Amino acid sequence: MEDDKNLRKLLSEGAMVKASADFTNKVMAGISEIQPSPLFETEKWKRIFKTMAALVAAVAIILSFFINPNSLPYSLIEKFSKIPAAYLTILTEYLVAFWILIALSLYMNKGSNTTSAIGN
Amino acid sequence: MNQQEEAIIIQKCCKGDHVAFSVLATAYQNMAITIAYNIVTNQADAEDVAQDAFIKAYTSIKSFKGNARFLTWLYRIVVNTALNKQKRTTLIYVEQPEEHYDEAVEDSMASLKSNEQKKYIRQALLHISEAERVCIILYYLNDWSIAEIGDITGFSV
Repeated sequence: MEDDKNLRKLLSEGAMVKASADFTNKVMAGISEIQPSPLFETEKWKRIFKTMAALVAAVAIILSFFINPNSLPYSLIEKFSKIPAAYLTILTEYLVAFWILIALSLYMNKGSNTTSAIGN
Repeated sequence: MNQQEEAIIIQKCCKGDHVAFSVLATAYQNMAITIAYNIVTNQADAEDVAQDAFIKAYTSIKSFKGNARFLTWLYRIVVNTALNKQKRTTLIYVEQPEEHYDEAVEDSMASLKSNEQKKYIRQALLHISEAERVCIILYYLNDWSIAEIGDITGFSV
């Protein structure tokens, strides 16, 4: 029992290895390196949103070529809203036009960003 | 640090507060390095191992289940990281210079004696197996039970 106590004392005095002064800083630097920055996160979400918007616009444009407005199930929509079919046609056309403009705007912004990046 | 404080800090870390993690790293760094040192037997490597282990612990802290002790979980990461490092070092073995104690700077007899004692204790520890070293360190310096030591190291009791 006494030997056990002596060994414990000896080990706590001699076997404990002390960390260098900047050890915690090194650990925190390592953690910061692997963590994505908030700026990166924002950029990532912006990019995802832009990609989604562009995809929706592309699908809308493609669909507009194949869908005959008169074949759309307006009667179903009319059951839930009192909007006349003529207004729905206009609404669809506006939506398609809106997404085309959004897609164009995204494309133009991308172009101007590239130009400004080159300028910098 | 008591378990309640530890639990609060862990909760903060789970929410992405990496500054809170520095408190844990500061509190447990010496023990983590001591465990790593007794496996890799080199101070610089031990620091690298402990550093990697802390980073691994931070990145996977969400997987930490509150039903186990945090230290058991952390030291298990340290032991595994050290064993992996040891395996790699054994494969590419480069002879390390013996740890150098700058005795000229420390001219007082007391510190010289203390350093000598440390040196002998470490040398004595190097004469026993890696598994025995880690078990002795965990048993005598942490007061872990045999079952907990088995849980951390994976060595059979």
